[in-house]
Amino acid sequence: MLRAALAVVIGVAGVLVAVPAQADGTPPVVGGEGSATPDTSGGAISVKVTTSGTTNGGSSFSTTTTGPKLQAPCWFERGMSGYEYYEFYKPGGPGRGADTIEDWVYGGGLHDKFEDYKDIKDGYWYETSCTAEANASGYGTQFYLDNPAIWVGPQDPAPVTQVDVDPTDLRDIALDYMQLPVGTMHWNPQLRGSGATIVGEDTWIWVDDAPTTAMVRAEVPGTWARIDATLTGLTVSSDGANEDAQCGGTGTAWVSGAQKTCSIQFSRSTAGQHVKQGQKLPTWTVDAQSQWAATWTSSENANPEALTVEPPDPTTAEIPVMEVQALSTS
Amino acid sequence: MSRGRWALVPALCVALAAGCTSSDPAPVPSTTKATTPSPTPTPTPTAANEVQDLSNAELGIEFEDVPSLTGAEAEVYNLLSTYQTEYWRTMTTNSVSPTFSVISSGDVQATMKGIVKTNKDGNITLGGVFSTTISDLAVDGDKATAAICDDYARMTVKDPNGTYTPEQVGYGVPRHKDVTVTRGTSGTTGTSWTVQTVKVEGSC
Repeated sequence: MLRAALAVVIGVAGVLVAVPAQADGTPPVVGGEGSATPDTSGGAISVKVTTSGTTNGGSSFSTTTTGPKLQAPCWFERGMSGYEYYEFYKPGGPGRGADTIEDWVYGGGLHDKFEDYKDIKDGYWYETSCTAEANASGYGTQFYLDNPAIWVGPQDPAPVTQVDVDPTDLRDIALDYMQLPVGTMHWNPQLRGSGATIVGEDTWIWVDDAPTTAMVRAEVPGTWARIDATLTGLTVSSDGANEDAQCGGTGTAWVSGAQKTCSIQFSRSTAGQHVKQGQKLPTWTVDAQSQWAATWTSSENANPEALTVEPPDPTTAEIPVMEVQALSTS
Repeated sequence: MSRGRWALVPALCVALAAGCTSSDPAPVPSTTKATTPSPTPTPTPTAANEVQDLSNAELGIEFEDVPSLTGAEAEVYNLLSTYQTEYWRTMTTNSVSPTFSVISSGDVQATMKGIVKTNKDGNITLGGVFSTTISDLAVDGDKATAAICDDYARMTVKDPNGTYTPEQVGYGVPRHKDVTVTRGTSGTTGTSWTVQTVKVEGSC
């Protein structure tokens, strides 16, 4: 427990002076060069990723995600208020006196008409800031020349940091951060009670609420990339089946008289398989992997270009499979 | 919103600074009492290429072993002594000095922001005296390096729980740092030197 009492000492003039006592708890972490985490949040821009689309059930979906942060080589950093800047850099102010600064002032470095804002405490100067890498390459120099400090009054919007990013990088981010609903797999036949299907019989497969169209857009201020994709089919596979099934769509829900559009045949029962966590019976894992046809456009190219996309996560189900013994009579 | 402008003004020759002749007339002071606020005096160029000792008792910074340098080395030294002054000002005010946007890269400014954030989050107040030595200056064209030794032995540290010695907070041993500086054509400062990187490593 820390002692909060103050130590009372006699000051030089004989006056009792209260000073904080030596703390006896855990010393704080003092920020200093080499012991504080740099804060580059001013130049870091988050990529915004928006995913939307429709499902085979006729519903739509939409999500917005924050993608990775991109570091701008240069950006505008909020500096002092008009009042603070004037007080700091006025003749005799604390910011004056060093030759380095006086030479800078002499060269016209002070913000234009800074005296006009000397009484304003809720308006600010926005000044350029660049990474060491940008400065070393000369980009920072040019950015500074092209972007003098900006006065932003209390009612003015702050400047928006922009970052030069290749739209293909945003396209790849869109792919990485795409979020599509998975849907729910159904099958038939299902034996009453166990839900098991039967070895050697066509097992209908269909997926409800499966996405059939999707749009993914990744953007930063000034630059975007967009992917438009359409479902072309499913590949249904399982370790319990000898062959995968290639389906033209999401399958057709079984009802009496319906046409089968997607099915798989299990060649082995699940007898002898271990019971997976969350299941009551041994099962085969069945994956329904969607395939997509995609194109992409960007803020720099409005003409759709074909795009090969990695399929998203498959829709998965655990299906018990049983053998049904045929009865023979004589 | 309005935009600040970078404007160059022609060199002025005032008093008996280097390059001026003794026949130049001294400026005549005004005897008229101003009834409106006086305009900001026109700044004048500093004495060129001489080392400036920025030790400041009020701020609490002492520069040790100030060398006699000229030319580019003096310019770099003065830049670094300005940097050290503003670093200590930042540490003792918990506010990033605006001078860093003039004399340093965004990376250095980010470091200062991180320092202020750490100390503000901990309600830490620093004061006392900061002693520093700038040495091993080496200028090669538009690049320069230097070594700096920072001594925090007389720094005071306080937070809501009490006071601490520099040793208690890990600042009891002088800290060595290597600095890289570059000169550009931006006119960011009168000499256009900019502190690019600061790496703290070891003691001194």
